[in-house]
Formats: sequence, C-alpha cells, structure tokens
Amino acid sequence: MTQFFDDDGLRSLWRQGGTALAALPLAEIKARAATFDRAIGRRNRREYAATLFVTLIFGLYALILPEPLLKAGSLLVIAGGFVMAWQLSRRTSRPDPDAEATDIRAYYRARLATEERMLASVGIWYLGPLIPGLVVFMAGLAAAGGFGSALGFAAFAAIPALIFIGIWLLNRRAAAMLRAQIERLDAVSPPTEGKEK
Amino acid sequence: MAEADQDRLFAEVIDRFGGALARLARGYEADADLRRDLEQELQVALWQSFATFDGRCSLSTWVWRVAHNRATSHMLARKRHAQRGWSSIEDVEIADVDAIPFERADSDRAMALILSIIDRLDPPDRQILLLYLEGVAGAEIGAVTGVSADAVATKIHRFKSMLTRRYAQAGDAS
Repeated sequence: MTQFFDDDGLRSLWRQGGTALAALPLAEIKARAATFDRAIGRRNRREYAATLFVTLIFGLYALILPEPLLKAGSLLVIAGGFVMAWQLSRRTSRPDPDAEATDIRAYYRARLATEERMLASVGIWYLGPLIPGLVVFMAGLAAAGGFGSALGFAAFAAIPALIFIGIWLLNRRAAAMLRAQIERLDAVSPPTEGKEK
Repeated sequence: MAEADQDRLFAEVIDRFGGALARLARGYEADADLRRDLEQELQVALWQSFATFDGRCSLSTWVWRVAHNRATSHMLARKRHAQRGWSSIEDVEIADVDAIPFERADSDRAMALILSIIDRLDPPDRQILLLYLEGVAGAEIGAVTGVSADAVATKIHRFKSMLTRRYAQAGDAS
C-alpha cells in the first residue's frame, strides 16, 4: 500500500475515488442565489416576530396593570427587546461573496473572531438590554405586594437572575474556546509576509 | 462584471473544476445528502462571486478560495458539535486515526486512511491537504490559504509521514 503514499500515488488515488459534480442548471443557481437572500430575510423576520410577541405581552401589561413601576418596567422590556433584536440582526454573519474571495486563513480567522466577539459580549447586547425593564417590572411587583415577604421576592428574583447568569457563563465559556482556537491558528499557521488579498 | 460574462466564467469554471469541486466536497462532508447540498452551495457561491471577480488573483486561486471558504462555512454551520474535535495536523495523534479493515482492497484502505486523517483536521489544515491532493503547487497553496510555503511543506510532510506510519502499524498488528 505504500505505493499510494508518494505525491503521484496520493493524487492519483484521490482523483480515482471522486464522483462527478452534481451540476445545477444556471437558472436554478440564479434562483437559489435569490432564495438565499430571502432566507436571510425570513430569519430576520423570525427575530422580529419574537420581539413583536414580547411587545404585545408587555404592551398589554403597560395598559392594564395599575402600578406605575409595572407600566414603566413593561415599556423598558419592550425597548430592550427591540435593542436585542436589532443587535442580533446586526451581528449575525451572512455570506459575503467579497469576503469569501480572501485567503482561507484570513476568512476562517475572521469568522472565529466575529463569533468570539459576539459570544464574549452577549451580556451587553443580548442580556443587558432586558435587565433594566425586568428589574423595574419586578420592583413594581414587589411594590404591589405580590410576593408577600422579602424572602418570597428574593426567591422569585433568583429565577431570572440564575437563567441570565447561566446564559452569560455558557457564552463566555464558548468565547474562551474560540479564543484558544484563534491563538492556536496564529501560532501554528503564521501568515505570509505581504500576502495578496 | 456583466451577468453574461459572469455566466460564461461560471460555465468555464464548472467545466474545468467540476470534478475537483466534487472531491473538495467529499473532503468536507461524509454524508451523501449533505455533500450534494454542499456541492450545490459551492456552485451558487462561485456564480455569485464572479460578479466581483476583478483579476486580483488567478482564476484558479479565486475558485479555490471561494469554494474552500464556503465549505468552511458549511462545516461551521453543520458540524458545530464536532468543532471541539478538530485540530491542526501537528496535534493529530497517529493512534487516533481509524483502523482500516484488512479485507478491503489496498486502494480503498488507503483512501479510507486519507479521509480518516482529513476528517480530524480544522479548516486551515484540511484546505492545505485537499489542495495538495488536487495537485495544486505549493506556491499557489500558500496564496490560496494565506500560509507560508514553508508551513505548507511541513504540513504535507507530516501528512505523508502519518500515512506511512499508520500503515506500518497496521502491518505490524496483522
């Protein structure tokens, strides 16, 4: 079998095992290129739908709940939801034909770095915008006497707090793994000097 | 670029690189259905990319970059769960490479060994080895991947050494 492991042997073997490309008609390719843009639109619409749901629920609270703090908290949650959806849409990576024509190492490193930044800052752009509204809303619930005692309030407040902390820690951990990948990439594959882009 | 020129360039590229693109997809995706999806994604990506092809690099370098970068996106999207298992070729242990059943023909065993190593590699090293297997010259591999020619040569040497050692170990075990 070692005859396969010189340059010519390996390349010959690699070509032998290949299947033909399942070629798409040009019209289909153009249709898919257009569909892909629409798919990004669909994904964004899902994010907007979730924001709309939050807006409707807390909008209803703002209208019917009597306590001013509950009204203010509801409006702040709605505002936070809009900020979160906007940030999610802005930060989501999309295929970029121009970026795809850059060298492979730069493209891969940029993808990892974008994802790392997104995950590392999740507390600011994903969780952060919702916190003021939730805090004010819960303060409103406490003011309305909905928890009975300070202990009851603390137990209720602990639930969203633990969820937020869990999400934050998981994302920080994922970001640290990506940073390690980037560092390894930089150490193992130093870029060429003055490379063509 | 005018759309007619984009179409013409795309047809030329599929004619010239069609087989290589199918083999590239095999190096990224083992599942037959997902591989077909990837082949189609590659064609869409290439056609789209030619709208901005400006001769900043050779046509083949452009094709390799776009195809490998889109395949990397496919890897990241579809195999996120497997990402922790990828490594550079320097970190792949020979013992981790799958044992190849002896009842298979020599060429099948050699191919399975190659794919077993490639499947463990992170995108940058995977791309270097797939380009090498396609017969792309070291200098062009460097231009496509953004890695120095010395680093490319080192990784290819390591790959061939692993294949030979793994085969020798299989022989000792039989």
